[in-house]
Amino acid sequence: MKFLAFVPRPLSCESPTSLLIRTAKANGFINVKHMCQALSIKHRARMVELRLDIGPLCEFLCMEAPILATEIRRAFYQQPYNKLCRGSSIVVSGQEVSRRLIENNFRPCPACVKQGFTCFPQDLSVFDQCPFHHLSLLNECPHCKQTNGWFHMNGFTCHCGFDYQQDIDLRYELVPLPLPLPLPLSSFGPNNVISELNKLIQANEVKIKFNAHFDKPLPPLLFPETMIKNLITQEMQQYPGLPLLAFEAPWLNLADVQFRNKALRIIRSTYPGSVDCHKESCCGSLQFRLQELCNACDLPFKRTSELIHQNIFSLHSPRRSHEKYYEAPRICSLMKQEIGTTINVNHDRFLTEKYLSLTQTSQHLHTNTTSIIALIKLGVFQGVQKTNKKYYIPLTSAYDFKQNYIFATELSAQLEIPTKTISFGLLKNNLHPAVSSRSMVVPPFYLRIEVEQLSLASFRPLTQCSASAKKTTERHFFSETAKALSIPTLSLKDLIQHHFKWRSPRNFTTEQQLAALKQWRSTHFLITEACKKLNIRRGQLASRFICTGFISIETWGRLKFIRLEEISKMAEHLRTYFSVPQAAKHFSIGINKVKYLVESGALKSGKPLIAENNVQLMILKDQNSSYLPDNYSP
Amino acid sequence: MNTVSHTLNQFKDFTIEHPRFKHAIAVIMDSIEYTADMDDSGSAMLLGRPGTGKSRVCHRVQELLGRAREEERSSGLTKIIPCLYCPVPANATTSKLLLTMLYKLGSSCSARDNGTLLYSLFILIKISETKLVIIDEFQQLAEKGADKTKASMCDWVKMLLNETGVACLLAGTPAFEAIVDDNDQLSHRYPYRVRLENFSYGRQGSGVKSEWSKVLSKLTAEMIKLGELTHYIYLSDDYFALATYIFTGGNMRGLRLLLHAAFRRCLIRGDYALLQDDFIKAADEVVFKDRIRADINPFTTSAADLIKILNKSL
Repeated sequence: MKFLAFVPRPLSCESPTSLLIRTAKANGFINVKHMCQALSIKHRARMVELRLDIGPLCEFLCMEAPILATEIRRAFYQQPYNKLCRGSSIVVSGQEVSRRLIENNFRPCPACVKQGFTCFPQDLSVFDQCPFHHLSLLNECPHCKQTNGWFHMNGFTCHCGFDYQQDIDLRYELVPLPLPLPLPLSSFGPNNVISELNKLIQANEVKIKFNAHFDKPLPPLLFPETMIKNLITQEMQQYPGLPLLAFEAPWLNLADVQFRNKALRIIRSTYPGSVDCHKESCCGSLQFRLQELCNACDLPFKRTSELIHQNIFSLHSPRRSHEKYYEAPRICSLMKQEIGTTINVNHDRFLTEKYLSLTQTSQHLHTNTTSIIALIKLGVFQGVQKTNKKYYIPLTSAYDFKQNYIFATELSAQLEIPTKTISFGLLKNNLHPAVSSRSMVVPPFYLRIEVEQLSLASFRPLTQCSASAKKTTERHFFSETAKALSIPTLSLKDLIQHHFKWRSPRNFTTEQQLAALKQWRSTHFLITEACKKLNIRRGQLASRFICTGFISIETWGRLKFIRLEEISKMAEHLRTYFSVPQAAKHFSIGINKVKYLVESGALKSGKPLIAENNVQLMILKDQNSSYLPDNYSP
Repeated sequence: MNTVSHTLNQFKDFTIEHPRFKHAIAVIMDSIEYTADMDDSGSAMLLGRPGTGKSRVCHRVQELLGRAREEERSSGLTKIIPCLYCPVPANATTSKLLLTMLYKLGSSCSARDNGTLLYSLFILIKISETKLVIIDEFQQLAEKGADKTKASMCDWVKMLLNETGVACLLAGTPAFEAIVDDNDQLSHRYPYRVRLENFSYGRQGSGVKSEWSKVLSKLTAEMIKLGELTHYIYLSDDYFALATYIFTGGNMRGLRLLLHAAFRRCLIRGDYALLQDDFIKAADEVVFKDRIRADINPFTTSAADLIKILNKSL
């Protein structure tokens, strides 16, 4: 040990926090921070990493006391994935937990700290009680009521001088456990009972993971039925006008299914039925989240967004929260109204057909979404709704537009002529776009009546001479021919240009040329085809024949072709010779033995094939297959 | 040349446990036992002029208590330092001494205030199971500053004794004894005091071999053994004993200087012979302040003259 006088041995279930505090204290440092400073260990803002087995303090302790290294590493927390990454989870006593659950405050169990150490549950924020002694953890100093950071603890002594180990009196700390639910008295709005219950459920899930470590497994979380029933009854009396769905809506967010069903059952059994509320602001203070609002009004998200957009609900964001809540002065009547509307809408199948999305509109009008947005901005469509960066175009408006106007793109699709040609042709016929915009994004659209009055036959000749039409024909020819020859288009093009040297596709559309292509293909095989023909693997063919230059290949496009003669040559070679691995397999001996036998002349060999990096021995098949030389001894 | 330096090093480490040396060690050990048994400070003070063997006594005590070691126990791995030997650094202050002590304990603890350093020191002394703290050359700290500074230094030592609960040996020249005695509280905490002085030369013809001759005899024997000497002069002979005494004045450091120089010459020459000539040249080379007669080379002076010089000095 170079820098420390004492490295403590980790105790059973001891947390790294406790171990580090003990180490600092025993070595004359004021606290762990002082130790880090004296040992030049960087500690700023990485409180969790100091307690990881890959952290600097663990490494340091292991270096100081190599005999205790295994035990020390086991006591520290692990971070198996994305090491030293802030977002990555941490393994505490073999169980993976979120990093944010690791506490930076010193919150010991009175009984544990009396024994001179703290356990790992005291480092996890989900534990309020010590699972070993079933005592409440001390979140603050019993003397000065201040919280202590573990990093600044001088041994187990608070800043005020209160020594947890010496001064704590267990008789006074045996307080009854607090109620499981310090319930806020509301189901609605921020800080509601559901979010508190969810926190408890999540904490309980984490706690149960560690059950194997405790003598007595932690009891499951009990549903506080009476308390919830009282709360719901009280709320139903307070807001008599609210529909059942509104009461149910916040409880649908409860994480535990059983708890959720119980809560919903209570609501349904307690709900007295909605009455008309005549008060002006009976439920004006009620706040709902967007999803809750959807559930409460039994509306789809789209419709709810629309209502919000129409300023029927006003937005309310609590301070220091990302949540958004909505409220309205007479929310109960609004909800009832919307629930009724929804039922009608569903009957008439109106809502689904009332609006079109941007994509639907663009498909309907044969254009793209950018053009539609440009038109919306131009005010062409009436009654467009915009919610959450999405546009909803009324169906009637889109139909009206299509009846009156036509896009050049629609004509282009009909006549298979480019849009530019159409625009040019229309202009020649003295037909101008309905809206003359200098903006490039507004596409040209014309009055449908005017376009229909024109003889579309006048556009037909354009199809023949347009460049795109030529290209289409060419593409079509290539794809068809390539398909017929079972080769890719690229290979076909390469073949035509460099092997046959025909100038352009139009020059080889004769039957003779097609026959020549087919003839060439019948004598040339792809490597896959050759492998199939020779009944060998692709790698075998490549290593034995291509790499050694035994055959010559032709490359057209990206594919390699082998001539028919070469295939017969390879077949002959395969019939005559074994490769070394083949011979080894055939004679049931090792590769090295085969080589040895060839060198000693016991096995007859043919002309070896020479590759760039190796020489491949070829063994004649024309020897007795059961033959093993006399001078061969394994 | 390596062999020469190795032999000289071995000779340097050779310690003669003469009765005064043994007495000093016994007193220090008593002080440690008293402090441990009575749970009260009963520390020792080791006083002596330079070269009387104080540091050697300190090192010997350190050896006897055991060197620093690591021990694996059920509680963890502990570094045990039974004896903390801490020479007072040059231009010393209490904080510098504190830092030196912490460094010797293997701590890298650093702080701006003395309180934190003291806190670290007390804890480390307890953890390291230190039995004795030796502060050597204490006069460098004690004699510094005005009376107020001296008093505060005494208080500092007192606090060290009280807080650590271990014996603290103060070693140094006799001058600091008075400073300690001025502070009653500290003086009472130092009941054990050992004074080391230069050797005296036995009277001529007394028949009883003086302590000086015994020391010389043992040193000669060690030189013969280490240097594998075949021809040598015997230093405990009356003439050479007297000559060395006249040269050194009975001071151990002076004797070591002289013997080292002579033995080195002999070893370099490599003829396995330690001759009078070596001592003559060594006496010419070495400058030693406490010589009885600085103007003569005792190894070239006759025995009668040497006796005259000795009688005159007594």
